[in-house]
Amino acid sequence: MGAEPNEDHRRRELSFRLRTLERALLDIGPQVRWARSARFLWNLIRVSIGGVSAQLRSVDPADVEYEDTVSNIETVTDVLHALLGYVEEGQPERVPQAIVSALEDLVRPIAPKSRVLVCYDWTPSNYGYLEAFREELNAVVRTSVRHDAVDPKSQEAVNVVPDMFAIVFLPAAEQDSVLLHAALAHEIGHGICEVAAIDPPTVMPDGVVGELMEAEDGELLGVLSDFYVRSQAWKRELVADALSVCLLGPAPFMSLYRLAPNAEPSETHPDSNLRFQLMSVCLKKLCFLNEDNVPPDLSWLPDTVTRAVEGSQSAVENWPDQVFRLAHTHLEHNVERIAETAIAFGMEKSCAFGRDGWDADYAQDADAPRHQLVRRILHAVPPDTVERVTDKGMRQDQAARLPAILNAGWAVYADPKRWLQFCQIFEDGPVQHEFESRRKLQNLVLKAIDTVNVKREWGATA
Amino acid sequence: MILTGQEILDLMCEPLETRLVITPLLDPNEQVVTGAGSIDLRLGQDFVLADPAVLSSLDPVKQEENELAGYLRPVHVGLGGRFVLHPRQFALAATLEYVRLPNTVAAHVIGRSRWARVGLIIAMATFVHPGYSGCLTLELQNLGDCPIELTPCLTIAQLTVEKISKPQEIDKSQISCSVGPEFRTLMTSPERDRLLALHRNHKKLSADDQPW
Repeated sequence: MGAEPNEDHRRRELSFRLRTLERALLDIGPQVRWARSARFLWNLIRVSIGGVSAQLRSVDPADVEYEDTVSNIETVTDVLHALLGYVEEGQPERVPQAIVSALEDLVRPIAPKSRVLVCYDWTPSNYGYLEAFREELNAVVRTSVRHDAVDPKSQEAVNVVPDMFAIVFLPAAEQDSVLLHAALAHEIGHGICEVAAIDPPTVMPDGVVGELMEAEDGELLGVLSDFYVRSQAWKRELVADALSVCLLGPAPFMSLYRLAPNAEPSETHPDSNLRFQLMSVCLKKLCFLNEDNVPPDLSWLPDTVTRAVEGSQSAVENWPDQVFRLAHTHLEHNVERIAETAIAFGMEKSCAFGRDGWDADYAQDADAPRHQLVRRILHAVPPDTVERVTDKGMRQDQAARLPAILNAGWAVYADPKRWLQFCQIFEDGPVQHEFESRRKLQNLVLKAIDTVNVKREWGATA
Repeated sequence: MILTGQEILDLMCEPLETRLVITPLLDPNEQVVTGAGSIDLRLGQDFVLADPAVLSSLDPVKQEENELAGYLRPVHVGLGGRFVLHPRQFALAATLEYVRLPNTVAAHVIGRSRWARVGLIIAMATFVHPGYSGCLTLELQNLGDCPIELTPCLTIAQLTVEKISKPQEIDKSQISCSVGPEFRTLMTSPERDRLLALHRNHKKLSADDQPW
């Protein structure tokens, strides 16, 4: 007896979708396989198609678990199609790959097997993070591994599931803006937050409790629930901001200031002011804003932070949405706590570099590396190397690190005096081609990140 | 005067203002050939291929720059990847090393003889001006009969450095800060305008010569 006609059709349809997927996978050029995380996904999809197809062939409609198995295959096929889209968007020809490896390195102290896939976002919604991805990946892996027919080598490959697989998006129009890509640290922060389940405790200020209780009886539950959802969503954003500062220092703050100097609050994101307040506290705690000890190449930073916080202030009490207003007041009251929790986590996992931590390996003078890198940029040289002189007077160069490289780039770009000095490398008199200078600065920073990556890979093969 | 390997090394240890910068040097001891007075350069990860299907011909006088840009297709090859250059194929590539020359020296980038012997031409525009900053663009062409697989980080070219008799003021256009192969404008704007005027004139005269 064959299967019911409908069931036959369902299975043929599924089989056809899997074959289409396989064809589409093979159509992606071999180039894509050289982006590490894209290659991992590519292999995972290939192995999963094999596993799921075999399962589909062997499933018997008479089995008790038939319905569950087929529905599961349908779900996984949908997920595989979605994953294929990310592989296509994460092609190395388009995405600056050097920054991807550097970001993966930063996350490694927290999640050693972490992977980051940077994709393009074609909508103007800027940088983004795909939250639900980890579960989808696990669903695919579970389904593929369950089948015995999977070749052991492939099974082994599939079993190497990353601790964190963050898919982050950068706006297609900003592909060459390497300095702005410090904003990716915020998106990585979301991944860390999810993996480590960081949820800082917050305290309700009296005013907020009072106002919540004033809601009419029929509305109280709705207002409370909206308030909770909004506060939690905004808190997650703030924790990601705090972690981004832990990872990269002032660079993510500067990126946010350039990208959204005065953003209104939304369902998912708090207003810029709240985010700047939080980042300002983090920068203070990490010794970037201590008035008596500001590093010379970051002398512009305290003023910029003050300008960002003051310039983004809006009359919260006049916001029409009560829940937005209360969530803002609630989280503003807890900015210190959120910053403390995130930084304490970073310190414990040794990912919080801070001003001292970053440079401890380089020299006694904590600011020496960044200072050197700024000098290199001002001589049109990529900021990729930190020079050290050993006790015996020998010069021993070291590769610069991503935080120092990005902050050196910002130190040149954000300081009007240095920026003018940089532009005048390329033209005499008043600056007329600032766009060209900006492109050249991005080139130098990108080359530095790339060089560090190449050196590391080269050293690893030695 | 061509600098010896040791002189190149000394120049690379000068203060930043007057230093010869070549970065990254993945194997400094192997890349700086002391006896030969040159420094080996590696192949970078970015290539540019010409797409002949897009243009009927290259006409730098009549064509706009953006038309020429459409004629070129960038290709990125990851570390460990391969770029296959087929017989008679032409491609632009760049050195992995970013080079900055001080204003006291000029340089020549030349292909390594081992590659020339299998028919691979590596650089055609070989002179590097004093004060140049950026990765060096290489013009690759396979004159042999067999496809050649190229891998990023391969030592493919060499740089000889020459002292110039009198240090010059740096020409700022030489500070390109390029990080991949560059396809510059084929001619300057005034030159193009003049040639275009000549071209129109010629066309008009030809039309006037018609007997009908």
